[in-house]
Amino acid sequence: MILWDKFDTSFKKNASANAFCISGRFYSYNEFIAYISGSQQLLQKNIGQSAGQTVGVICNDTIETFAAIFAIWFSGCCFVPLHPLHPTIVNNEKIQQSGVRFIFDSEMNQFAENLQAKHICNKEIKSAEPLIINQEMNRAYILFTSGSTGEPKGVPINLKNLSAFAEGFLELYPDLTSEDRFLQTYDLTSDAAFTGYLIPLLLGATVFTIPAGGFKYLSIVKILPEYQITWTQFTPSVLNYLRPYFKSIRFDSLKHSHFGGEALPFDLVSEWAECVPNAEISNIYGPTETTITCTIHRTNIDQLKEKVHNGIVSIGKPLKKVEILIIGENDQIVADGEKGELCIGGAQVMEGYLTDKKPFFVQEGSDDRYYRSGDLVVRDHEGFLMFCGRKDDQLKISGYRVEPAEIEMAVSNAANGMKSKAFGFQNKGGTESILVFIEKFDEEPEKLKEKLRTLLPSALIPEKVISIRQFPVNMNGKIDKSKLFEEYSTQIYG
Amino acid sequence: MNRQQIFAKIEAIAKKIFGDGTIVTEETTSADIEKWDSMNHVILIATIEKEFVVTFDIMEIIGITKFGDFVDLIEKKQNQCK
Repeated sequence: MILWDKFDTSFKKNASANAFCISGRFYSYNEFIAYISGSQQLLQKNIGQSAGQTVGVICNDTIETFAAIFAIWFSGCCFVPLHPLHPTIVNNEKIQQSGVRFIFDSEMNQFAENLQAKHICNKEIKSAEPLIINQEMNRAYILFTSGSTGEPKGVPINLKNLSAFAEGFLELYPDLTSEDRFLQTYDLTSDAAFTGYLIPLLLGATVFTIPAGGFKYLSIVKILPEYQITWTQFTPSVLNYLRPYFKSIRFDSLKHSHFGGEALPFDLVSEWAECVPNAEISNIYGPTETTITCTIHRTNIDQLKEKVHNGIVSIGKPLKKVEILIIGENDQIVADGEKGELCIGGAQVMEGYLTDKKPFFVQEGSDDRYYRSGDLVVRDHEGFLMFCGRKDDQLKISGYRVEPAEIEMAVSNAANGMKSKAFGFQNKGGTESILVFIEKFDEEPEKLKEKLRTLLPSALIPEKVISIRQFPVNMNGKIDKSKLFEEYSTQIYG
Repeated sequence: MNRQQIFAKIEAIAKKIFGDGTIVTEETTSADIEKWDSMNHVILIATIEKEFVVTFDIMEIIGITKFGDFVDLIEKKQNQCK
């Protein structure tokens, strides 16, 4: 039985239960099947019975968007998510790179006229025809990550990868059931979104979505109690927006509070835990190239503090079908307790980018490929992985390798837990130096530096400290470094 | 402070945050102003709280969709103080 059959079985078994709640409207699994069937009929009219084609979906907040995704998958085709608010040039680049010829759009967005593919409008299209499940192990989806060159890189993920993820995830959460109510908070063009609808649909549970427009962090606060949500996942930056209101927030229904996409600060999540007294905390990690999530730290708040490194919560252990290696500077495997680059192998790893570049580490005398994540970790004696920052973000100051997290931890201690981010920058003299942005900090930067001198070696004292009201975040809720540097360029370089 | 005076102060704050050329009416929503994103929403709330010496709770903030909602809330808080 392939993964698509498992979805089909779940949909039929839970036919009368609610599959989705979108903008306050509930859709049963029966209705969802009819929408998928409608889209599948449309797709087959356009492409015939041929599997393996790549089909785009403009990701609107509609039942038809989810129906299109499953119609593509059940027809043995590959899904490429396109964002309705992204520039046409960006969407066309994705269309071109991935070979998309047809695009589903439930809203007939005007901008879509400029996209270089044929449109299939599936608004309100349903059918009573039985679903057809193609049994080929094809590509499931292609996502795009921003490359260091600025060109988006296509990451193809096949059905085998996706099946391995689903199996590994469900094994770790045997307590999730069809009674659970999942709040999917991510943009559908991000791979973090998959967990929030794939897992509940496999279980026969209900998926709640965040309406487009408005402010995500406020929508989360509104929907969580309104629908007695039991599972949700969002980035730590969302918590940062909510932090001033933690005292007036209490969500008793929440059983699983997942975080991903950014380093999870322990002090922030421990304060949040008081708002969700019945929830377990999970910190998840996974580059797009290794299918959604490849390591998870599932724990309760009491045990959370035992696995913290430089103030950041552990990213846990690999899922069932994931293998890892940690390699040092000379590509030699490092011992537990030593820092190195996390390399990820096993059934969840992509075959390679759409372009020729293969970012893999292959051990001598072996055919096993490990994706080089660019993330630095330390593995403790119990096998827990501690995230130590990006290899690219590592600063080299006066000949020393410096982790931004180490500086941020000291700033947090010196500034009553205020959130900060440390970066390297070239000062006026052309020397690599340290810059710290700190949120809502009213004191003089010099006073902060004074305190830091008691906590850090002199080489690690930031040259510049810039106080900001709030960190800007991108569409996926991660801190937007480019926007930050652009907005404060006068203070940085002035 | 009457409704008109409250709105005038909010209008001034909004123009400072979103730019002088921004059209601000009681009916203006975040969808009408490109710069009104999550980050600027937090800044807007904090600035209004400071200016009027009030604190909004999270449920009040969820209910805010347009500038007029701020005026309603401040009027309500003023009446509570009387």
